[in-house]
Amino acid sequence: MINTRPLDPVTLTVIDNYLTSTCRDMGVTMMKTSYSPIFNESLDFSCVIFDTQGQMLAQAEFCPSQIGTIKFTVTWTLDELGLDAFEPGDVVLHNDPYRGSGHVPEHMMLKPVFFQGKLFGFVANVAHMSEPGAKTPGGLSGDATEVFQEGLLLPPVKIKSRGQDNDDIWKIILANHRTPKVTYGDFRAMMASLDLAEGRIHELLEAYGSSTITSACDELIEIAERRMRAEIGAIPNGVYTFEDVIEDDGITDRSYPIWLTLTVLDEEIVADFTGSAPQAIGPVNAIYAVTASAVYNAVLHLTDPTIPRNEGCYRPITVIAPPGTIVNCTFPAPVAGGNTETSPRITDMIFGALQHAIPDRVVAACGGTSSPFLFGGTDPRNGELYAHFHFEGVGWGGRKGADGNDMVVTINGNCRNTPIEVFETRYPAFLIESYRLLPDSGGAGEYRGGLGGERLLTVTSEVTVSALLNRMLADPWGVLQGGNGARGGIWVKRVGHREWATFVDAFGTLSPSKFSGIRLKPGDQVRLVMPGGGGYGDPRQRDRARIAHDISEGFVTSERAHADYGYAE
Amino acid sequence: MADSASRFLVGIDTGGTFTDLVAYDPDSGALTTSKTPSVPRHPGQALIDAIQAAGLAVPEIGGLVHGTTVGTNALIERTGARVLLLITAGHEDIPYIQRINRKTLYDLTWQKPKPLLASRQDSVGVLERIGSEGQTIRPLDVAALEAACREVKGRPIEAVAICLLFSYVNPEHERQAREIVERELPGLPISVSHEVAPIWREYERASTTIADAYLKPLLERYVGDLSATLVDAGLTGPWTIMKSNGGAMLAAVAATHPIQTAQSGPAAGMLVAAALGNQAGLPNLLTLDMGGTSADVGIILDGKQKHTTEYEIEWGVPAAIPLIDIKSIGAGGGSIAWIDAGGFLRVGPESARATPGPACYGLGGTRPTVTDANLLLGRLDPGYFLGGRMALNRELAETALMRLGEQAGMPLLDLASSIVEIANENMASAIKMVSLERGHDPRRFALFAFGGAGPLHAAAVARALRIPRVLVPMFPGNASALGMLLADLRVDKVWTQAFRSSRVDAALVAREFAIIRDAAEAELRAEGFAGVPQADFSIGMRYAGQNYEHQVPVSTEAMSEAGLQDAFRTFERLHSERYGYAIAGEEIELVAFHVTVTGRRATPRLAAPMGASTPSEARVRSVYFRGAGDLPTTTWRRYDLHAGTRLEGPLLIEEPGSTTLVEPGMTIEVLPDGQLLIETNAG
Amino acid sequence: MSAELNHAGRESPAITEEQAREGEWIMPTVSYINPERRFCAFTGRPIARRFWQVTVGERSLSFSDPAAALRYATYPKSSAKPGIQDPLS
Repeated sequence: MINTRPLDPVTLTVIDNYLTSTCRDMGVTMMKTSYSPIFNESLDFSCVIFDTQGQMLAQAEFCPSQIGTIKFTVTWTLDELGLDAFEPGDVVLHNDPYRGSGHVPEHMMLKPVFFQGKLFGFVANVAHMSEPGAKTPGGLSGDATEVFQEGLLLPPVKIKSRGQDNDDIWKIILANHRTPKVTYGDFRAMMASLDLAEGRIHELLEAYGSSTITSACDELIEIAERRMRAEIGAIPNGVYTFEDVIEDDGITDRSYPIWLTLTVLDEEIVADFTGSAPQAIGPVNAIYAVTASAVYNAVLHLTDPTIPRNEGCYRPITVIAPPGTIVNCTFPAPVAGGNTETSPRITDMIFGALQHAIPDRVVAACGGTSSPFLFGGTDPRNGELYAHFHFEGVGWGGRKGADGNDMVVTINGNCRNTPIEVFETRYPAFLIESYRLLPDSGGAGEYRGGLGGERLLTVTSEVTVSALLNRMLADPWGVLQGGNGARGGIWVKRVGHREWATFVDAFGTLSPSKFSGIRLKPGDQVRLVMPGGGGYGDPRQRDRARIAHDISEGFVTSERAHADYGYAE
Repeated sequence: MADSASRFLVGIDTGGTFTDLVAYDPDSGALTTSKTPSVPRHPGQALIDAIQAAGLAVPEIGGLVHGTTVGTNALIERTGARVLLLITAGHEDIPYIQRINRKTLYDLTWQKPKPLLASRQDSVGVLERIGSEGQTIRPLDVAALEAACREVKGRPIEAVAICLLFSYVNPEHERQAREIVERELPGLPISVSHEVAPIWREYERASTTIADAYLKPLLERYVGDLSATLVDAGLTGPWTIMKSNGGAMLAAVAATHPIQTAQSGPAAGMLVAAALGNQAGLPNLLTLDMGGTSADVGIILDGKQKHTTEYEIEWGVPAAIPLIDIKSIGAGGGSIAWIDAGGFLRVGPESARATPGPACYGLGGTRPTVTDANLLLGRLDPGYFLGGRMALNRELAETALMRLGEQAGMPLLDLASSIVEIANENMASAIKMVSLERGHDPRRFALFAFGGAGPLHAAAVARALRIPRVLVPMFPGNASALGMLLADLRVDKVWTQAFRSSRVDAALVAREFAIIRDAAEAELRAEGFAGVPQADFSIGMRYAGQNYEHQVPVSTEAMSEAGLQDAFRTFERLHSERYGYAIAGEEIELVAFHVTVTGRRATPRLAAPMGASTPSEARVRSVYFRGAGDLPTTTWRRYDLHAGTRLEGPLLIEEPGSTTLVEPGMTIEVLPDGQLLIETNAG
Repeated sequence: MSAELNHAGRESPAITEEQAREGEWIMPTVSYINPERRFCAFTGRPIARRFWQVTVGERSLSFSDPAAALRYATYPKSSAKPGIQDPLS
């Protein structure tokens, strides 16, 4: 079978590896040169390569939600501007969710790659800026009601033309962000990453010639599609349904159900969200690209991870999301939490829907929140403004044969935490008192859900905080009779108070988990709790040795072992 | 060094399978080698065996440098000590929480790595707190720590790691904690984070400190046993162990800094590359060390290795030690070829290792490997592997490849050739990462090829990267041992303190540089160095706001304002070279001040044995080259060739530990010191 | 402007495969003063600029591309019920 291909498999492997490693190295450049901890510690960015039709050619181990979404950001850019608009040395910047960006803080940069005077394709990256110029520091304002409150919107504009900075664009952006120096450094890091990739693609084109590379890329896309179809073909045909909920929206106390009808028909999958709730007033709405990306993410998790990661993977997947709903909101609804919160919810729902169809491959719900906790203020050491997007890991769901992982970032991301020593050095606002796993937070099951965690922070200088959490009211669910994981949340203990209180009780916010612009004073304390993962399978089937180990390691208390598993030491 | 009775300088590299030795006789300049099986249970015996196999007696040894994988293996196989971690209270789960990211995307079966701790209960909180500026927020609670120590007394703890927040700024609490542990848990080895790895990022520092403690009892035993065996056998002088940073330290000292030895073998390989490159007038090298299970690649710029601190025991479990920057990939002679679910031919990273080994070893391996492919292509002589000590079985290799060929629908030689090409491409990609991606054009380098399999693949790898020359050292299969002969004594010290470029006090920097240089020199003298040490200084700098720094060399520790300004300009130039931009007028942050003190030792001039004149006749065998088919290929015994010989490819040059392949269209020259220089004509 | 799909299910007129094929590409100019926001009648995907227009009687349907139009013609009408039970209430 190999011999019938126009290009030999060796060349294909080499080109595929080359493109993937190029994406990886774009990431290293961004990490090493960027300014904000969300870049250089958390790695909240993704780097990808596209052809002239906006087809993804390669990606690497970045944030799955960004990778899925950037497809839409790039194709929108190419469609709106037209290919003729690009010249060598141009860099396009874009973050408008109503033009295909995931949410306002996520900025995409795109650079055309020309070879011998002809447009070959594009290198692009997308990164979460720690400060987008929203109504409160760090954006992700939990009570925003319009996208305009979520930061400065940038349609696809050239921040560089033919290698020269467009100073006017820079000025507009830098004047609108609270931390222009950080924005400047991070944007430069993104550009350095694009330059590196452009150079590497030139090397590749010089070595092989552009027609070989183009046909290799087409071939790789076809291979990916063929393999993806075969994988989907192995899932039993059927119409599967699942329902989950976004518990509130920061403005009203109503919840927003999401309804999924998943059709597997031969080699294709259709995820239809018709029947989901109308779009929210608050910022929990997903734009279409985010919803589609979340579905892709789930399907990629359920299929062979060695399939080349390019456009072909996505072709057999269709996503139907009616406009005006929480999974495809319309302008100008706020969208910040769609990307961090609604996205993992949608991904988990695909697993939930398929739990009986492919029980050996699915996973129970993860903690399902990025626990976005935003803060900013004036650094008392130098008088400069600062802003930060802090997020957390969660417990992951149990799966066949193994307990869920403890404290890993939700399935839509692949970011790292900010080390305490970096956090406190950069941000004088807090002292981190503790950061730990929470016993009993994993859902019971034959394979237990992973543990969530807890972080306690004491305010050390006046700071303005915002939050956009979920799973404070609705449980991370188990599958196949597995128990639910523990919920998370955020609480505050103000100076002079002895008890933890919700922000509703302490500050009169509309939601306990979604709010913005709350000013905290030195001595106030914040408690962030990260949800655990759901359990997999009947807890009564759990291996007794695993339960004993859980108790001796302190993952499960004896009381809960008794209650959940009927275990007596 | 010693009288002529004990004059030999000996390097011994103990790997998992073989113990390699190179001995240098300073009187004659002759090099002697041996390769003997390792004896993991009796490491001392393996050394004695290796020494005897080289025809030496221990009392003849004047200097011994040893590299060992005992630490590396204990880390990989998780057979180290049970460690008690003492960490700032409230943060006991840091080794478990880690950095919360995952290794690969889209893999629901992935398991987060476990720390080197035996139990989560062995991570115990210390009531104390230092802040980000080094201020004491909460004094260390002595009574509570004493009580905690007493509580763990019942557990079979073998070593203690201490890692407290911000100890790299203010180590006072860690020092206090150590004193308490010494008192309360006497006799246990202790590793303290501000000494093991004075870096920020608490998880990385804790992980490194745990790893150090994890290896301590083992290395202490190992060094003790070896010392006893060697002394019994008549060793009179001190002996040293290779560190991952390319320096050597007294064995007894190494036992107290065990994590420093984790990558000692590959580090020695880079030393030999630098030295032999300089000897051949080629100070800029890309290195390819291809062995049985993996290939290590690195870069030598202006005769110097690159250093880093990014080492991982496994993905997600870092050990931030100073080491020579080497990239390791799963491409070796034993790498297995397979067809993935999409029908792509792949090679590695899985390896057949030493057992069962490649199919052609006849030790039970049935899956096709790179070595099997090489054999079928005619590139290896089945009768001269390891100098004829191991016969290779062609039929077994053929059977293994046929099976894969049917699956892939490829004829045998085509498949064998493709396997070699994919392995080559994997190595070429790795070399690109250390060269092109850091702004170094491979066309301006020579490829230094060693390890048993390196010289066989180097010509093709060089061709793919358009590297114009390949340098093959003498005894490429023993190159790490050879490198150990070249190791200087070396001590690295760092002072971690952050300054902004606008507010840095040059006089203070000069004072601190002098303090750490004095401390490093004192250590060097304690290791028996009597000469004049060389001190090199550098400052870790980044733009204020960045989180990763660049090492900016400074010429002297006597920092002046003007010297600092020069250093800032150097930083901007380096940043611009690497990333294509500098930010004019931006504040620069100075975060760490490094000194490396080197005790230079007499570097032997290395020369290979050579024939008096190149024999007029050589054997010819048929070798398959893609595109050209079977070509009659002359094969030479390497050490029959004499200096100045020039030959044209295709040809094979064989020696007991390796085979050098010269492709058609390439030429080879035997250099005056016996190294082989291939002109690839590919630049 | 009104969406062609809403959360309560598909209300747009069904089209035949032949009608789906007989559409035409429309390439509007992009206006920032009077922006048009269109969605694919099948998937709901927002349309950046170019779209495949299928006309059925009085009504025009916009699709991302002809493939989406074809699938719209054959995809079964959603079985989801509007106003599904809120698990928290």
